[in-house]
Amino acid sequence: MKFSIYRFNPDVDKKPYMQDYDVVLEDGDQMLLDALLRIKDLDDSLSLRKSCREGVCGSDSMNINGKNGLACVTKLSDLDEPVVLRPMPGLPVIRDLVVDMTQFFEHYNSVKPYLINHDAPPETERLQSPEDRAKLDGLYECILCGACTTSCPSFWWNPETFVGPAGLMQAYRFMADSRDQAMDERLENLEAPDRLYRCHNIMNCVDVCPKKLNPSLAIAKIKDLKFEQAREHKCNAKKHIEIKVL
Amino acid sequence: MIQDKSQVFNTARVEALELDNLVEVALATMHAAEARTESRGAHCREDFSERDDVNWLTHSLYYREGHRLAYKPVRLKPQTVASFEPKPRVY
Amino acid sequence: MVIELLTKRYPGMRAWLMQRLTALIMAFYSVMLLGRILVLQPATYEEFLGFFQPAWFRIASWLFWICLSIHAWLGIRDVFKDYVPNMYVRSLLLKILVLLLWVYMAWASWLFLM
Ligand code: SF4
Repeated sequence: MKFSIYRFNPDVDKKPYMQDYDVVLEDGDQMLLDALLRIKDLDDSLSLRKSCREGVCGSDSMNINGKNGLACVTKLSDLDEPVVLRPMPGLPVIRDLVVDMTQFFEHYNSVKPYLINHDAPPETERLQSPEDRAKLDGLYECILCGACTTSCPSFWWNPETFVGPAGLMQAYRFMADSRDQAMDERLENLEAPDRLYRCHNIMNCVDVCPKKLNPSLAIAKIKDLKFEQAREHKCNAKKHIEIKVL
Repeated sequence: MIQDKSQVFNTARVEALELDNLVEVALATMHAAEARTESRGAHCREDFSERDDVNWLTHSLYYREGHRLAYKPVRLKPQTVASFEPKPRVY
Repeated sequence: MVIELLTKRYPGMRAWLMQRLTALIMAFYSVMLLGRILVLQPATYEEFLGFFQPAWFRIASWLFWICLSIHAWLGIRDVFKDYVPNMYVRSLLLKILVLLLWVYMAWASWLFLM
């Protein structure tokens, strides 16, 4: 099977280049990652991240024939030859297919992706009704592979300011959590014009997500919540004024 | 033989080091399992198919030099929670 | 309530909501304009002058123009933010844009209100 793979090693290469490989596959080779490991047997200088080999760790996300995805869950039979592999766009390349995800995780951290609850910890777990738990479906499954954020033009153009689909979806994941108490703080955190509102519903994120999640929908729901929040503030402000008048 | 000599994200080297560690862990497992003449959980022997709490309620310690083995008792009195009698797990 | 959302307290929300509100108003106006053209079918210059005679229609057109200016400002600012990474060039372009929009605004005010 024929491959054309992006190569760049800052130690020796001045410029990135595409290298062609023709590799003989064996019977068990089903997924793109299997083929990549065959190539790595032939040429150990090809660097890529990988770990669980079953779409759980989110390490081997890359640009496959022009579309971001995970090598380990991409079927070889679905790919046109030569298979063109590049690192994910929009992030600095460290080497070959490995990109520097620092910025991605900084954005992720910036939305405080953890439970904020000021009550004293209870004896047992903080319980949730099945309905409340169901609100997290389609959100918690994110494996932070970065396929969505790096396929998002808004992120390409404004990588420093725009949080990106993955980060925003995790922001919503905690807004939607019945156990979380920091809704206002979380919404406030996304108010700067470029953090949330850079999203123009391009929906590349929905197209590429290997876990079939919908960051675009989560972002729309954040916008709804922001609208609600602003309305409530207005009501509170009114009450405030009334009290003063009294 | 590792061809890749690069200092940057050299996964070939990392994998070689990992292999080294894997071999060591495998050796430790083999030697400790060979000595442990019972079956317990995932450690399952055809020649000693029963669990033996009299002789083997103990941790195995493996030392690389000469594949030496030593043993350490299991602490049966936890400090903060109530303890319970060890017994075979059956499903 | 909506007015509150359009204050400085919500810079992100303000731009986002403004873009949608102005779009809504422009959509209404466009439908009305189309309807009016179909009904009156102005063909000559005189008829066209008559078409723009009623005060309510001129005020509506003027309002439409205000919305268009705001909408264009927000939209083009977004495009510049995306495609003009150089700060100096971008702010220059934005200044030209503001100037243009004000000139057009003045012109439209003169046309519709004088
Ligand atoms: S939303 Fe999907 S594509 Fe984006 S990081 Fe999570 S799993 Fe990956």
